Amino acid sequence: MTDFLTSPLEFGADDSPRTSYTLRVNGVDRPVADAWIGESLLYVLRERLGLAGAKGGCEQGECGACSVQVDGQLTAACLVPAALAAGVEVRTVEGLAEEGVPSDVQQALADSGAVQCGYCAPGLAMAVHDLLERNHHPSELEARQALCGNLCRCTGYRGALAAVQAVAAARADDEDAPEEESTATPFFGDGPVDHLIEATSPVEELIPVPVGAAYDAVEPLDELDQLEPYEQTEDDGYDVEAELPVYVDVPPQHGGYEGGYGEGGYPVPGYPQQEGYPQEEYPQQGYATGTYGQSYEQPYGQPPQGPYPGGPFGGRFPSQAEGPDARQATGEAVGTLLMTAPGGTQEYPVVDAPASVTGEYRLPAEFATGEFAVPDLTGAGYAATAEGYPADYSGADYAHQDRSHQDQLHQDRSHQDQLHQDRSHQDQLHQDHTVPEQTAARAAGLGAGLGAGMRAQAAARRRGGGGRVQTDAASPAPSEPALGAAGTAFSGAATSAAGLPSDVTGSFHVGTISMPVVDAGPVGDHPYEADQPFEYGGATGVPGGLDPATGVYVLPHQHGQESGS
Amino acid sequence: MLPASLDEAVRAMAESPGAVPVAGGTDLMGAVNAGLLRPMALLGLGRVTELRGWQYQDGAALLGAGLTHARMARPDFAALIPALAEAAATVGPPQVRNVGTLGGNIVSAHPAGDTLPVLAALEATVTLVGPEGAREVAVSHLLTGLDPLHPGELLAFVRVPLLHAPQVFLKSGGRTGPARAVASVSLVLDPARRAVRCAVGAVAPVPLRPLEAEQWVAGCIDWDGERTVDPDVAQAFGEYVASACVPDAGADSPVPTTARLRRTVSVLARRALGRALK
Repeated sequence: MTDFLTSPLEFGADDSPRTSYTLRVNGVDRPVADAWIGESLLYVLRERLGLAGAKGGCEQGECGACSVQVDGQLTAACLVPAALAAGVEVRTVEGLAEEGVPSDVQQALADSGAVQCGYCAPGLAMAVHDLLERNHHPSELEARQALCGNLCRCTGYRGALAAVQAVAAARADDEDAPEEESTATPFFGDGPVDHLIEATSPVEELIPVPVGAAYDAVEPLDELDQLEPYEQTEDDGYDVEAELPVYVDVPPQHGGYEGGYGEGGYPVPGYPQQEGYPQEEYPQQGYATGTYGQSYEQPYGQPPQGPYPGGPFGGRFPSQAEGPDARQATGEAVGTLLMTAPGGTQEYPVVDAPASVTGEYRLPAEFATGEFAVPDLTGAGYAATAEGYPADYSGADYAHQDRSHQDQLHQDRSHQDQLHQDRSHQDQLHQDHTVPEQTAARAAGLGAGLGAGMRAQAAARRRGGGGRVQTDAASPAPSEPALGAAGTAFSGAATSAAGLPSDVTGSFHVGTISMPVVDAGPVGDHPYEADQPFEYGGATGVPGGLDPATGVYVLPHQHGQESGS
Repeated sequence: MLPASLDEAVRAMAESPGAVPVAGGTDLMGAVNAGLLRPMALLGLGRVTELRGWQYQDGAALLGAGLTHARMARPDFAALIPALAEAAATVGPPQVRNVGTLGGNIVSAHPAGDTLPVLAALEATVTLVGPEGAREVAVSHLLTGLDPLHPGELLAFVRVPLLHAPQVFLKSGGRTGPARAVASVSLVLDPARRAVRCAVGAVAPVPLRPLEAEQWVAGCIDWDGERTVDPDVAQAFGEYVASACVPDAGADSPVPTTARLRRTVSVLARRALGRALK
């Protein structure tokens, strides 16, 4: 009678080749008995040796969650036949912590918030350890290249990169401190720093790594480009693949956002600058076209349209986290205003200048929650003094002859109230209750128009079932028969705007935000009086903005007209 | 089985014909993990030290099949065979480059293998060592199956001619991180023969050589002078290469895919020529 449980070749057993070997894991010999030869090191570590630190993610070497060191080399444990790792030193994440105390890398990862779900964390810890063993002072690029094999779907690597720099700095401090005391060498200068590096670095590190040459070779396909029909794209030499250094995020291209945007140009509202994480520019290489950076901001599935940069704030507005006040004194551009009119689209830098400079767009700190506001334009004629405007600017370009649009711009009051109650628009609405009164009073013209535009747009989006509202250059001309879907959306949005004056003459187009342009008629003495038939809350009008009494945004209007509020 | 020398490995292969030689194991274990392969025995080549370095021989470099991608991406190797170093640097994440080997890349012969177009462009040959001795086979013959591996044979060395001229490897992937190649182009100059050799990878099961385009563009280069090329020539070369390597789509196949791939190959080839002649 055959014993099914013990007979190796009967039921319950298979004839797959098996072997026994001894793994040396974290300095301890761990015998593995009767294991199938095809078992990966990851499987053996987790299932046979009970070391569940390395995680099984893709089992293809793509995710890096199973990273361990085999013979001193960072390796994907899922791709190492465990039987062939017998006899060499295997180091897992369990070996990093000594006596239960997390290693400095692990502590730094925890401190920097690199852990969210935690699945990638053991692999990241191993990768960071491996990096810092070979390179004591990794640059940003080197760190990114070293961590490129560790996928993290939660935190976005920022914390991990910060941890790399934090650990590198801490270790450098530990090593520098006694040396500086003994030799009293200045930290800056030609020799000492090099000597320090030489003293603390392995030989390999002193060999310049040809990152530029090597990693240039990968040329990622531009997602935006893939959306374009082949026939429509001119081959200008920088068209197919973006020549970006691989593994590097796109640095901000629009100037003035480095503080508010995260490292690499991704908008990260709410993320403070990481300590120990140098906010330095990457070595910036050429870009495919002007559209490459936009591809990150383009909504998925939408072909690029026009020159607008896309994104909820056009990708060009200060983040909600950090207002422009950090750059307030410099007068540098903090954003771009795309003005769309029947005549075309023009792009203007929005200058953030000290309050003493009148007439310029100014984004006060009170509006740092993302609302785009331009206070204090009253009577100044923004084109008169704002920097960067072309001399031949003509407000008439933005006036539209057809004034029948006004009929559409009646605000549905109940809609507005609904908006204020709608929690899903809390972000937009939040500032309604936080803007100080005097600021609200200053928030003339354009700012109020933007606010109303945003609200109207939000209303339209809500009504339209979440469709993206966007206007194009033709949209302010409702009389034209060729109103596309976007124009229709604008109309729908505008219909819900409140208290509009009677002479809406066009539309602003700021990213996806549209607002009517009001023709305030001839106003005070500014250079463009003759050919600028509109004014934002002009000298004779009332600046729009948040009505502190009612909490309702009103658009600028002229005297004699009562707003809906 | 973990032989320590090539002779031992060959002997072990002869003794157990079903054994699968494993160097890095990245391709093999991917298949094993996916349930596609159940090896009867594994022959680990990681301890065969003579396969993990390189030597010089008759104006060529004799590369051990066990050279890892990480090793090939190092600067000293890059000074030797730049295109191969560039290809090795783009193979995958560090975890894979640290163990993946040149020989494994050839033997597994993945269509998107990054080193394959480089070896094809360099007209490398491989040394296969078996029980009956060693033989040399052109890489392209091995890859296309003209001269396949015999049972019990191991790929031991890769002989790459040292050209002392610009070499370029360009790869187009799907993302900025390590990615499988959508198309890759390797272009090497051979000034001694006044030849340009180009190979396109990842668009076909094996690397493709656009021979006519190579000959045509070699005639357009002023080999004695500055070795520059007219931008229009580079453009035409790119399109020549693309049309040679990416076949016309049939009536029912997705034409945009073909057009897209052609354009990618065209740009890569044009750029590769421009960088080689820079």
